[in-house]
Amino acid sequence: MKNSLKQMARTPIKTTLFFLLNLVAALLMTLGVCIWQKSSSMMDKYEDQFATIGTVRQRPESFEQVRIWDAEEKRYSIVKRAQYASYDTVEDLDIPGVTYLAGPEQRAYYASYTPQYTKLWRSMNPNAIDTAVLVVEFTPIEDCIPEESVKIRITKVIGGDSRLEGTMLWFCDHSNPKPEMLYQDKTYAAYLNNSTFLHGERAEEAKRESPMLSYELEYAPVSLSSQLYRLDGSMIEDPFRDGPEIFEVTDGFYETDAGKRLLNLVDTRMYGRDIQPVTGTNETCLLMAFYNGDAYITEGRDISGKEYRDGAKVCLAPRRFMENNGLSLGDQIQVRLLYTDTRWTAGYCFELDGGYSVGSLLDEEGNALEPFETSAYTVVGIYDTTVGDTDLNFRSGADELIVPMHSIRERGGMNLKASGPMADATTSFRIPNGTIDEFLAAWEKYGTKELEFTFYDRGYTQLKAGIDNMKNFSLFLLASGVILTGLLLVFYSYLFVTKQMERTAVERSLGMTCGQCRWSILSGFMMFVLIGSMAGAAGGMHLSRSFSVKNASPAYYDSAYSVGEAADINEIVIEDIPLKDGLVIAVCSSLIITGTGTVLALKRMDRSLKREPMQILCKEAAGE
Amino acid sequence: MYHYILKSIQRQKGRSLLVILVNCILVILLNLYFGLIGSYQAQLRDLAANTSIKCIITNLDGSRDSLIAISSDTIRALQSSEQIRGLDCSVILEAGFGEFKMEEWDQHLNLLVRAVNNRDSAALPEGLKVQYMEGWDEALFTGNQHVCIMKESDMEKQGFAFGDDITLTIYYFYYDDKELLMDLRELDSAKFIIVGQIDDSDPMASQRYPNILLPFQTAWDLFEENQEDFTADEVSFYVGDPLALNAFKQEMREIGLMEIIKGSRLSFKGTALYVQDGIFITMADRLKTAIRILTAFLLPMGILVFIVGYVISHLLANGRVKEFALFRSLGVGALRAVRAFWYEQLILVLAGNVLGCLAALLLGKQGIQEIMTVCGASFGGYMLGTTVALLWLAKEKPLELLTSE
Amino acid sequence: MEKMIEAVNVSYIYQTKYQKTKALSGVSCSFERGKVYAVTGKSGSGKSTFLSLLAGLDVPTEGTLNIEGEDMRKINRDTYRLNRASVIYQAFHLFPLLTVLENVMFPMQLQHVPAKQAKARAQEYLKKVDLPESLYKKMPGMISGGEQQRVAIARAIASGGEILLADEPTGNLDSQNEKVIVELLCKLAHEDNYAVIVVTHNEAVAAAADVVYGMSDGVLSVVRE
Repeated sequence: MKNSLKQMARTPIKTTLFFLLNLVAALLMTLGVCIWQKSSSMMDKYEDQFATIGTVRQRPESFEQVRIWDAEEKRYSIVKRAQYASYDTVEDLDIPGVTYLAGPEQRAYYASYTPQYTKLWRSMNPNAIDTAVLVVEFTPIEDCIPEESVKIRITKVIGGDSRLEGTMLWFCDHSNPKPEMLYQDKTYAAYLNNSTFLHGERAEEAKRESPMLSYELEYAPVSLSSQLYRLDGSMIEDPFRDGPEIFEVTDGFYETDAGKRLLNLVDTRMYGRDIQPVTGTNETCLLMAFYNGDAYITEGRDISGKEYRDGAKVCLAPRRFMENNGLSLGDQIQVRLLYTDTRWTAGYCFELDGGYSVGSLLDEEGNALEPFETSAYTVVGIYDTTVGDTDLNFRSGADELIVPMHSIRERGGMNLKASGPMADATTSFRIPNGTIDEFLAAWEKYGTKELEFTFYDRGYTQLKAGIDNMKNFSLFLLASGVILTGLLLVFYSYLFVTKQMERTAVERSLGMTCGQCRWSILSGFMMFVLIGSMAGAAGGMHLSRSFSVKNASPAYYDSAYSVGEAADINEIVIEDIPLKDGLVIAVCSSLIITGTGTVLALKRMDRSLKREPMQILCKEAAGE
Repeated sequence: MYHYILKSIQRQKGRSLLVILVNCILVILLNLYFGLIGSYQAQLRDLAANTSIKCIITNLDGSRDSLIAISSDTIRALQSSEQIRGLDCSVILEAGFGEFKMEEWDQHLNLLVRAVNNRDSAALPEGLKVQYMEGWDEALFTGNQHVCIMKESDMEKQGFAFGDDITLTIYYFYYDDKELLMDLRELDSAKFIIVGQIDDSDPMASQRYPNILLPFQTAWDLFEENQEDFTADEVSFYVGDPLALNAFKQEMREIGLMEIIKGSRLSFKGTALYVQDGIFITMADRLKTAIRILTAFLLPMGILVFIVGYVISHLLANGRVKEFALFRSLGVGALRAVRAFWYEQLILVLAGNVLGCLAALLLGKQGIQEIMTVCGASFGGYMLGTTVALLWLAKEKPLELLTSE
Repeated sequence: MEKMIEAVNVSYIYQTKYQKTKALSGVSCSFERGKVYAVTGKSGSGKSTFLSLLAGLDVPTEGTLNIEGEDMRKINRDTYRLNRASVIYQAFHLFPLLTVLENVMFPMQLQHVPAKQAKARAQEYLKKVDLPESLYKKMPGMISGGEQQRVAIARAIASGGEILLADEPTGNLDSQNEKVIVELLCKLAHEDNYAVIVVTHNEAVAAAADVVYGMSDGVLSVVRE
């Protein structure tokens, strides 16, 4: 071998070039294989961590303007309301060419009235005084038209803090553009709510004397009407809708409809504080709060696919609710469903800071709504919610229970308090990762223009694109490496073996055996091939570590103003996974190159050895 | 020497075919490579051509895209922008027939008016059919004439006909951002000629139709005549060239449009923009990255072609060293002898390239121009390698190869 | 007689990476038309080096080599080999891809002689070297060594030059063919007035020469004149 190496060293340029090119070829091959392997592993590892969710909303056909009178401003404010000819259903999402992994579902939340549990509002307001919403009898202190804040005396508290009896409150028929005269000598009954600051001449005068009145709220009458809907979105008729809100108390008043309603409101007005929203779904990740990570399971487990399918009586409960009620994993929570809401979400109506919006809980006949379903759910998982910078559209609700949709028997819109079309917060589905384009193509072909979609895939599309790019890149590297290796080995085996035929002939004529001649020529060559390929393979393995998916997915376009795109891949915790079996790949690459080189060199050597040494040395053959 | 070159090609069939085959394969492979780049570039162009990126002006928190106040400055800037197309502007007004006092508004103000700048405005309900008076068509919406289109039922009720001159007292919505209220304010009484009617025979559908349609610019002019600040309440448009998305967004910034800030205070001002470009960006980024990675290989591909040309020519030339020496001893100059070998390779490489081009044409991945360009590149790279490989021959000492010592 | 080639104090030094070798040292001699010259000597004596200088394949390091009175350094050596001097080799070195006739036509084609004329002349030269017509279309690999050498000689004279240089022309031939070649060379010299210079070990070839030079360690001496 020493001889072989010595002789190779005496053609330094040729030998160095051979070594370097061999190194580069091995590097390219190994790099290509390593990147391919890394990309495939990354895809396998992270595939399950991604879910592609689509939310659905129905576009309104037009908008109507609804005028609301403001007594303080003495003008109407306009509220726009979307109008729909009809509501599309999830059946309209069933089109050919689309595969759903879950859903589509349009979720409702159900209000469970369970005063035995402490809800968030009560836990945050343990000493709340019952003065915000009242059912009272009152008289004005003077004849007046309550088109601005006027003083009234509470003669009787039917529902609310009884200490208010005999006290004076400020009152205004705020949303009535043409309020009627109130007479000092009459007694009136109304359902009152305070939400507006004092306004008007009388109030201003009073504020001058007592500046603290600037922070006082006036009471305004609230409609006694029910707020129930049919599934098609039309409201169930109620004679008290758009009707009077202040009633004169006469004999037998409480036998009248108005009187009965007021009495029924005494209890139902406070129900909101004891209502726990229950949301039915078919998969937890379809709830965007969970999908976005704003809500996350801290104890126990998620509801399983089988439990969802079977409609098992299991639930996920919020940590704060569990703590407030001394409950733990495995305990049962009683549920009494009072009404259904298909328009809003639990998060919209029951805010995480304790605020809630419930509205009237009377039916169209003025009776209190009755629970339509009672169940007990076992807590299998406890979740917590990030408050603060959450997506307001998708936030979860205070005390919200998550249950399998099929566990709720009466899903047909019992006591439907709000009805609406499909919206992003209430309607979603899951499709296989990487199929957004196919979905949209199928929708373009078979779907309607009324429905719009937003997709969330947490950057899967970008990750896959990055990985596909890496794989293409790795194929190129591998192909280049293979071609270069092949050419180099053919060429240099010719130079270092075939062109040394004369040397071989001399060695043989000096008495060396064929085997010794082979070793003499090939040992140096193989040594360089082996070392060069090992160095190149090691370099390729090392270099592959610096190739990441992020490198392969740069952003060419400004994402400012963009809506509906996948999450920035830099926000996803995609760790570049370490190269598995890198050493094996490097060693195999090196061995393959060395093996191929050996085979080629041996073949050439055999050809040289076949010829008679004297023939070669004496140059007898013509034309050689 | 040419006769010798041709005979040499003819009589060394194996070697000649090898060179032709190698070049043919090189050309095919390079065409596939460039074809792939071309295909991605074509996909990118098609994506841009077939993608309509819709942009909608909203309020700052993105909760409203209609019944907001979009300033006239913004609209003017958008009208003069070269980066957008299909600008769709609309303003909603209220009106009453004839002249009446402010105090009587609740008795007379019963007409919903929509001023739009094109017949297909998104602000108009789908299915709205308009019948035009003779001599008029949807081009009226781009003008500023005092013309209007009215619901058929309103025309019948009022006894109007095409061509009638009517007086409308127009009110507009004033958006009080501080109090978050929409106020109705009187604008002006003006005369309009009825030049079209809205078919409201379908009672269900026509509930959503406005009573009157006006050209957008006409409404704008009325505001200016009355020295009132004009705002549109609904504006949308499309990105002109999706491939120039960055330039478009830069211009939107310069216009003063902001990104939606979720959770911000509710406002009526139409100062934010949302661009439905998520899918375009994802797909375009993907294509551009693929192009980038492929074009990064241009130089290595060139080097590879060079190496192929060098190695094959070197190996072939090595077997013909004595031939070269013989040329020299017969009086052929060194460069002339090298040229003879070079021309021989040239003919074979060209033959291989032509075959490769034909094969590439059959594959149909690229056009003839692209194929010829690739062929030229392959030819150049290979012949460069051949030239370098053959030049060393000139340095060989002929007599050493030919004599007995 | 006119001196075709005259060497005046010619020396030649080989320079390799490792060493300098003086292959020729102060060689002075002349070669005339119409004679056969033999340059004899052991292997490594400098004969082939001297032959390569005579063939214009290199120039002397010292001294001058005059071709018909012109210094070799001043003439175009490629043109010289094309038109005035030809070399034949021990291993014949015919073009393996050309037929016998095409081999002989080759030098004339280099001189831009029209193909028809070149063919006719080639046939003449082949006749001159007594090669049967049946072999004209054969490839060199299909004919014997003696026939190949005759073709080589025909090719050498086809260029029209008057100087014929031969490096061991009979080295690969049997005695019969050797005799034929020697006779041919002598005939070319004596009858066609060529200056024939033969580098040889062979006593029989040297014996047939008119002048014999001996080369030893790069120094030329006259053995027989």
